[in-house]
Amino acid sequence: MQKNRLSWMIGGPQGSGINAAAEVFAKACSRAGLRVFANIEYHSNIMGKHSFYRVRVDEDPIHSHRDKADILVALDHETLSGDGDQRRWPSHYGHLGDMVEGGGVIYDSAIDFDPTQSDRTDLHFIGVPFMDLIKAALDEVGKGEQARRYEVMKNTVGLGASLALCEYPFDLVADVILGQFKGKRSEVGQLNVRAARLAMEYVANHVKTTGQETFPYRLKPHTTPVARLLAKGYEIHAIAKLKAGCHFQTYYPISPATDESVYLERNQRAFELLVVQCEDEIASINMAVGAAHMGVRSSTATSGPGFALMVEGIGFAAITEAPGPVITMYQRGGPSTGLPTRQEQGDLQFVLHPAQGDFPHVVIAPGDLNEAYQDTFSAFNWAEHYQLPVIVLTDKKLAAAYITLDELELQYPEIDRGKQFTGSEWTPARDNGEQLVRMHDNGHNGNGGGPAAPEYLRYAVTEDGISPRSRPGLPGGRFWSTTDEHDPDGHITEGVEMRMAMMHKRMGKLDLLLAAIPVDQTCALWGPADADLTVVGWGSTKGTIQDAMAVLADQGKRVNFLQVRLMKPFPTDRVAAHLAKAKKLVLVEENYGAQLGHLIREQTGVLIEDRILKYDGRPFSEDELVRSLDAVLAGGKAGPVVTSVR
Amino acid sequence: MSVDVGAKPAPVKLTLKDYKSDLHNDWCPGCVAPSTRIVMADGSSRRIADVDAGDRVIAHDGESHTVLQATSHRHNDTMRRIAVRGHGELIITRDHPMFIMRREAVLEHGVTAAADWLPAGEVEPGDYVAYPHPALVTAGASTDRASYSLRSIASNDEVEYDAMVHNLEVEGAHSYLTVGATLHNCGDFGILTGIQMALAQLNLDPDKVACFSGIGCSGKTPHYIKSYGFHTLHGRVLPSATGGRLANSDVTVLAMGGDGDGYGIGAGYFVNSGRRNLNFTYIVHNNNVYGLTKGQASPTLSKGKKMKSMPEQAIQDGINPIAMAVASGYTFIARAYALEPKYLAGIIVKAIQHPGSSLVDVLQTCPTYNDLYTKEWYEGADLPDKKSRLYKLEEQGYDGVVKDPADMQEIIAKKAAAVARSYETEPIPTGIYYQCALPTYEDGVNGRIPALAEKPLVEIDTFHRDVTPLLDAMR
Repeated sequence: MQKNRLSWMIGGPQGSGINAAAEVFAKACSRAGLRVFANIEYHSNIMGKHSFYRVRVDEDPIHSHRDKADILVALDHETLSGDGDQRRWPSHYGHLGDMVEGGGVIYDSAIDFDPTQSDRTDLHFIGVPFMDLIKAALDEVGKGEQARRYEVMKNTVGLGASLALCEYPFDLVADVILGQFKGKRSEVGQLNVRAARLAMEYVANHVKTTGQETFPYRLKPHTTPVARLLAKGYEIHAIAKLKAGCHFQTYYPISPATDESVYLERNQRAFELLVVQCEDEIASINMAVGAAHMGVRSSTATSGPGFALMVEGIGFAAITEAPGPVITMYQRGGPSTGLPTRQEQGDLQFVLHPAQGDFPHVVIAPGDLNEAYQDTFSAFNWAEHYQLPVIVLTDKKLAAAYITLDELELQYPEIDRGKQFTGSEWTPARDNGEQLVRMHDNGHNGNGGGPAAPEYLRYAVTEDGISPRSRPGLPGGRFWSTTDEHDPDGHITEGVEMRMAMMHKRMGKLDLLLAAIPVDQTCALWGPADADLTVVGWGSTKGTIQDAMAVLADQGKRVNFLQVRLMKPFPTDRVAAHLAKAKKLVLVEENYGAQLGHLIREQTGVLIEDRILKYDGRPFSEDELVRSLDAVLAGGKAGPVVTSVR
Repeated sequence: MSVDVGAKPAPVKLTLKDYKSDLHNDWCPGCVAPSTRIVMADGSSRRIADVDAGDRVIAHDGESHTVLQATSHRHNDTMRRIAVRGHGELIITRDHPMFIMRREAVLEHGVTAAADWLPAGEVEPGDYVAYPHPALVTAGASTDRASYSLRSIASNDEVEYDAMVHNLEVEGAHSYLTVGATLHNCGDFGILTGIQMALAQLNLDPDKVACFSGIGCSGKTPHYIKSYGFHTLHGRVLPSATGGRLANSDVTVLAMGGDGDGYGIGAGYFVNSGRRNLNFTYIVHNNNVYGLTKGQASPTLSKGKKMKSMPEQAIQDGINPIAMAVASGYTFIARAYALEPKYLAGIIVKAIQHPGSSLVDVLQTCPTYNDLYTKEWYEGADLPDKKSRLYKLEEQGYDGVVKDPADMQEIIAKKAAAVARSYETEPIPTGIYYQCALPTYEDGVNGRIPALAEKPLVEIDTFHRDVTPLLDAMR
């Protein structure tokens, strides 16, 4: 039986509302109990350049896009034919090449496109008079002469038209549209629904009269619909920050990280979270570090170019043992400004080594939305418990794609603020041998009594290396802190013994953390234990790999997946054990340099020679990965993957 | 065991000593051993460890001056042991400036040779200590070279040291005499004293003060102040301090750093912190030179000038920090002189009291590297009328305070006047250039999050949020 699934695509110039139409469709499908993966590809540009949005719908869980779409809605000529006639170097060749055999193409009949000239004679081309339908919808309320002002409704017209092809229930879509235009704007919502309905009827009629009822790609609501969440990664990171008790978020606008901060800013009144837009990322990280020292849970969000500015702040937080911040780092195509709106996993090695010297920090890379929530939540606990900066490493795909989420487990885990100075933690000046005692004979920091009396030391060398933290404003908890090497008082020292004591105190926290973190959160093996091929990957490719594994499993092929999640401290023993059990290994990463591969080799000594890499700025499609893994299973050589653009 | 942190009663009246922290000190120009004998105003001598604020001592000008502050700290590093022929030995940190006449200069010019402040480590056997000659000291001619007697340096050796060392901050002169030598203290101590005096005058609980600093000699200031102290990154002190202030508005936040820190590498934050108008005070140690890296030009050094360690004269012009502050939106802009700590303290008091971003640019000598803008230069010792190169704005009837912040014309006029004064070079105006009470960043924040008007962010319960509405919007 044909499965209930569909790949739908809309294309048009940036600013033409393709996002709105695609997201309405995605939501209408999600509400009907179907699962959705929807992702946009767009240029770093405000208006005009070509962008397109794919909505993949399925009854089963999905986390990636397909190569080919079943239905295409084209708002302009370029969506069909590309920009080769306008540019010296075409950025794309239109999306007709991205259509399945016999797919349907809805296009604006006013755009001067002649389907008979297309070499895709298999496709169902349906020209729809977009503006005429908008005018007709307006005529019904006596506003026909204003049609030009409502040109932006073309996106909804295109969506409505496409519903006739796949026969998806119109009312589900109409509900979502109406829900987006509330209050004063409800009239606009009604107009959109009317125009969409006229478009659907137009196409239904057209299909009948041209004998295209045989269109094979249909979509039905789920027989037992469950209203799941339809979320983007940045929303999940933001919600995790809210639930983790984050007080303070700083940011400087940068794609694709901005959305998280703006989402928090939009909700800051309701949740009493202070969001500060800074003058640059250096200010963002330093404000966040300053706030963390002041005792609040603080965080920031950025992308590669912004992180490049933040690096000195990471070292600052680490040597001063600041209880944070948490940094959500959204990777995009590099290097430098690179591909600002595109996908890449190119910053792993960078965030592992952001600043000079050896210092403790945590890097964790969630692979899906639930992991994004858990890791962001945990990050605040780790930041405060171990007093270090934590980087949650994600990327454009996971940040911006709409993905169906069955449920978000909000109570994971408990809030842990670590050892805090409350007035009772007078630290006896005796714990690290003679040197410390000698240095505190004077008891001059004013927190203790006289010579050799117990006093509060912010950087006391304790048994586990973690000193109770104070914050400005607490009586008796006064301390100094410096980016120089320092003694337990927080005063500068260059002494050999103290340097050694402080290095061991700081670096030792990583071992503690590795021992404390749940095993599942460090790395995980997905799929059958005994497989012919073990895929090794990280981050957002997890979803694509799982989708590909499902396809391969249906074909009787045994493939499993080792997901590495905690990058620093690295779970060396566990990863090494998994690798040792594998019959054959292949690395899947969206970067040029096989950065996880290098990390694994550095940490375990294992060289994974087979590498399926992609670095054209677009995420793997399910089909690309299925083909590549199939080739490796068949004994072929893995190689780089490039998105088909013709 | 548990101590109620709220139970500690606030001291009734705090003094400068309540803000002293002498656990740490590695500032130039350093200090001397506790047994060093200091010449007191009455002609007696006393161990430096026994000299206290309020005592009167003789300075390099041969006159008596009041000790503003006695500092001490533990020093675990080498020191110099300098023997002065016939006057015993002096144990002194290697960067501590001594008033010296070079052997070659004395051979050529005799007692009329120029004396200079030289780090102790650079003093060579055969050089002379320039010591005020009691017989020749006369009122009003105190810096005359003929007033000095010469004492020959016999040896200068390195010694291991791990004990307390001491220094004095002396009002007016910024120098003092040991029984054998003439010693200076650097401008940073004047600023430190000014800050501590201001905090004491305001009677601020040291537990509710946080001092943030950048990197450089000035960056070490918080280590000397008994309050919460954050010695952050070069040029980034203002963002760190901003984050700190936003996290806890109950804490008085002071930011401090050098002119390179604030006007060079941190210029972007200087500008943006001005326009933000957050309630904090920024104290800039402005001495035209990068001292910690041994004497390069700072952003305030004018074109054509050359300090002693610079290979060539500057070929780019200096920044005008006052004018930059006006343009950036600081709502309190003042300038003071490091060697007038009492006046400086008065300015810092007003800056802290002012609700909004306050800049106090402090003109400062660097006895080690700034041989252009020295104490003598500021005092106008080289001018025919020996008139100071500094004047106080208020003494000329200047009033930079905007009376009606709603009156844009008044604001523009006062800003224009401040900028005009900021370009005056000889004499240089000190005092309040501009002040205007405008809504602060905190006011804006409180408008968004009303709870912040009641209590600081750090005390808001953020751990029981109900995000259900956000999740429902995703269905």
